[in-house]
Amino acid sequence: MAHEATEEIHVVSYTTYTLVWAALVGLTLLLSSISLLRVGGGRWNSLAAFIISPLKAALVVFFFMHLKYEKTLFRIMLMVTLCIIVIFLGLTFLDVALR
Amino acid sequence: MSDVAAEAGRAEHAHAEHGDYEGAKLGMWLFLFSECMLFGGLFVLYAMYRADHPRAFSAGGSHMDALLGVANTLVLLTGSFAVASSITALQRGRRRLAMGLVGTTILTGVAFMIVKAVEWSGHIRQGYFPHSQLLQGKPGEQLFFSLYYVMTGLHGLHVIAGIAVLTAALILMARRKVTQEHFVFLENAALYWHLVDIIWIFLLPLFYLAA
Repeated sequence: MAHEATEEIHVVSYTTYTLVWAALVGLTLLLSSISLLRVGGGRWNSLAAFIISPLKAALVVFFFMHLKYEKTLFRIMLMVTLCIIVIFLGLTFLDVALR
Repeated sequence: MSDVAAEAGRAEHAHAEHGDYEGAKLGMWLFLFSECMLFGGLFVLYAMYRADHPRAFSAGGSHMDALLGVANTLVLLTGSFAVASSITALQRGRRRLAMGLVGTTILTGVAFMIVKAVEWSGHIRQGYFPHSQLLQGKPGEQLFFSLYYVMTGLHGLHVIAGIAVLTAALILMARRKVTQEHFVFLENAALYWHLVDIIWIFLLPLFYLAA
């Protein structure tokens, strides 16, 4: 009988998930404390959000969503999507800035 | 139909599904990318308006209850952790544990929506909504709150859809349609839930930590 289990499934351990969850909670608390305690007079607020949020998203995508264990095609598709969003954002910014 | 015939029918059905596993996941990812574009447009809109009205967006952010936003983030992250673990549990043949974990994720979704309802009703009661008396003559804050309701509202609809899909997965697991051998439905439901989680990861700093 053909089933999914025959197609080389990578079973991710509970330990991996627990570590990723702990990292996500840690990063959330780090980001919110930088912002709410106004570390450096709020100067680090945006920078922290720009670094920590994509990092958290990457942890979710690679581990919780199994992208780390998927075929290269999935990664290429993600890169294409991200490039389109960057072009979208970049061109819109250029349009607004050069009006 | 006798048990033997039913078993044969199931085996045949399973055979017909051979090779669809990768395709089923690919289809789900494509759908998720289209969702990224949907929210991407709103994020671009937010970026443009924030660049135009930096002070007003900061003022708008100061009316947010940041702690509720952070708490809701932790709730969603825990839900994602539970549904990811449920796949491992199912793959290892721990069906009841897997069902319990999916149930936990559904509960985190419900808790998230309850917090959201408390927040929204609080804001509306205090007069923080577009075209309210309080925000007359404050175009930047009007934009901030318009985007807040549209983006968290659209996200909330996704949470509700996620709860529905996970409930369907739970029922299919109870009926043994989603099993140790056929778990792609649960995987795709989980993928959807994780996307909802990722969108919230970005909404948190945009609205709750914007002050």
